[in-house]
Amino acid sequence: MQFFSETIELGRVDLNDTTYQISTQQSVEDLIASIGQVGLLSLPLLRSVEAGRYIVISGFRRITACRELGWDRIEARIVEGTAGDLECCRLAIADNACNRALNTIEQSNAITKLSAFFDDDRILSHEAQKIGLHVNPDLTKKLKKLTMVYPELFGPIISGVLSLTIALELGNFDRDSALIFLHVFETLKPTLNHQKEMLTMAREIALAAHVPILQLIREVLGAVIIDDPGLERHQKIQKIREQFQRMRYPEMVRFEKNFQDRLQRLKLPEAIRLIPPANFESDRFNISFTFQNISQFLSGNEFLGGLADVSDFKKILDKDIEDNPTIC
Amino acid sequence: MKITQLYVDRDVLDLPAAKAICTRLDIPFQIVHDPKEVYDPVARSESPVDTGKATLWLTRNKGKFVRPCPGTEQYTCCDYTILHIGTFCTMDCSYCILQSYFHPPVLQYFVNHADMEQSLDEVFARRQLMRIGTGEFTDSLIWETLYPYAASLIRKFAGQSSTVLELKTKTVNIDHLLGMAHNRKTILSWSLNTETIIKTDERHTAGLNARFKAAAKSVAAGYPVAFHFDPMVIYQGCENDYRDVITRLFTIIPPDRIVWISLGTFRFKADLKPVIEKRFDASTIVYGEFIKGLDGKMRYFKPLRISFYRMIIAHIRSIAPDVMVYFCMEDDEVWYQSFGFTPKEKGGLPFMLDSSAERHCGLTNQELTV
Repeated sequence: MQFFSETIELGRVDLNDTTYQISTQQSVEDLIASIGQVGLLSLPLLRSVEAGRYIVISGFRRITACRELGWDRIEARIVEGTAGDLECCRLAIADNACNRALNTIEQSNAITKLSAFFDDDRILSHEAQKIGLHVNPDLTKKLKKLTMVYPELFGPIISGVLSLTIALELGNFDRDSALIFLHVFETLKPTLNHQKEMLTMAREIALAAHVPILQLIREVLGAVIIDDPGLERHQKIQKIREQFQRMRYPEMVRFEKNFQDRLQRLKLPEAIRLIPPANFESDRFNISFTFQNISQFLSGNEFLGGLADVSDFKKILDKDIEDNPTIC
Repeated sequence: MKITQLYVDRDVLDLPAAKAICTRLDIPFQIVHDPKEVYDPVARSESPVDTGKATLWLTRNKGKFVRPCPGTEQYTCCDYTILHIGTFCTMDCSYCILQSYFHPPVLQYFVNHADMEQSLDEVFARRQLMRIGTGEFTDSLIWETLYPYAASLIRKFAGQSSTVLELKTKTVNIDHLLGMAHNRKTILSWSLNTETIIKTDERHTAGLNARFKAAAKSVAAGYPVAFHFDPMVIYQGCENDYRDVITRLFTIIPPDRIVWISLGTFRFKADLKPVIEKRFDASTIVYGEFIKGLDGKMRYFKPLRISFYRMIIAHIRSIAPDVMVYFCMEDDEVWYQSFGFTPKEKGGLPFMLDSSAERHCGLTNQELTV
């Protein structure tokens, strides 16, 4: 492909045509200072679309900065007239990707623009890699979906507050619900796993109960005051998780609580631990008994012997379901 | 679902079943030289499960026709034997493991029936009590409207006395089987569920009333029958719904004609969850209180299962105290807490089922005297 340099009037450049815009950065103060000091070192890349009018392939901020500086004319590189849309798209991506690391939204912009020419994600990712965008097919698919999420999430995605995975999850929620979760995540900064857990539980509880997710979230978060100064951040996160768990797994939570209550009432000595089977699924309980001498051994042994007559112990072993009277 | 793509292996083209099905379907078919010619288009399609359900491959069973049901060590298995007649299903149940079991799923119908019959002859020659079913990797009767082969199986089993055939289905394709001399060596059985689950999670299956009517006709024709409440799903209102199904069952079918009733709550491999979520909008069955079971499958929390089973068993027992009821893949603790005994105390689950088959089907491991 051929380019030629030309001095053009800035007024002929159409900055409103964002066909090839990749960058999310709007501010040009840094460029104004730099260009004002040393001039325009890297020439913007333009496409001539009709007699005397140009659109920008790469260099939106540079051109804006030049206008802010009051310049009338600049030197630019012009793509020759025979260049096709795909070639121009490739140039826009390559010029951005090869000069700096693109943020997630910019990667999404680039992939989305390129996807107009390639249906298959494997081919699309291969083509993107050839012009400096290092994305595998899986990431390619995600980046394409990112264009569907609410614009309010873009900032947190760029700043790293929201991961790509979580942003896409939020994109499946209604806007109000997504923004409430965004507020929770920005304020409390739960781990990625906890964020995923909250979103999954909220979605599944709402689907199972046929209630709007917004109603559910308000119910859960109403019980936990996000901005309560009396609670530490991790305490708030824990309270939210517990509230979701109670709603998602009511019988399991109730059963676990009954087990813990019974365990407390057994008043096991410190040297003895009763370990239930994982998820109470197997029928094998374990007792761990630590001792240092004969005296401790005899005393622990005596305690263990007496457990057989304790009703709470029997109920634990029977996985007594009397505390869970109704299941439906 | 409608078959839109038909593949036929080159070396089965002249087999009677292949010829008959091609004629009956009356759509162009593609001759297969390499399995990839079938699998690749299905795997590459946007929804391999949906594509697989519209893709029929007439082929040869190159493995064993008769094979043990894959159980697990952690839960009590019934020692069932599978007669492997084909794979996948034209009906569309959300919970069906076959959606994620085959990669990719394709409707295979094995047309080398002479080989199958030879395998059965070998089984019969052992004169060992066995329960054999065709409904593990497919529904037993989905192909009957295209090629009514069940009749041949029923005739074959009728001529021996040690093994019983179970044809398990959610269809009502049994009218052509009613006049046959089955010698009680074939059990016609139906999977049952609540109207709610049938509506949201069992697409293209016969309705509950239709299944009951078909079962009643089978009983009238002298067939032993069986019923499978599997998977049972725990949801708001499920207790009443399952009680209702059980009550209706026993108003139509005399308990003494039922060889067995199996119970099993919903369980699934984790990779099935996204498939169900994607393919069944109205289904909420994956949002129950599940834990990872000892076999790696997701199962309802054990105390919940026990509570639920107790209720179901109490209701069955209140109407039919002597009918054989058993669990599919549960452990001794669930058995004991729900039934009050473990299979071991009764000689083991296979023995319990064999005994019921002996009583209802006249099974014996002695030579049949004609």
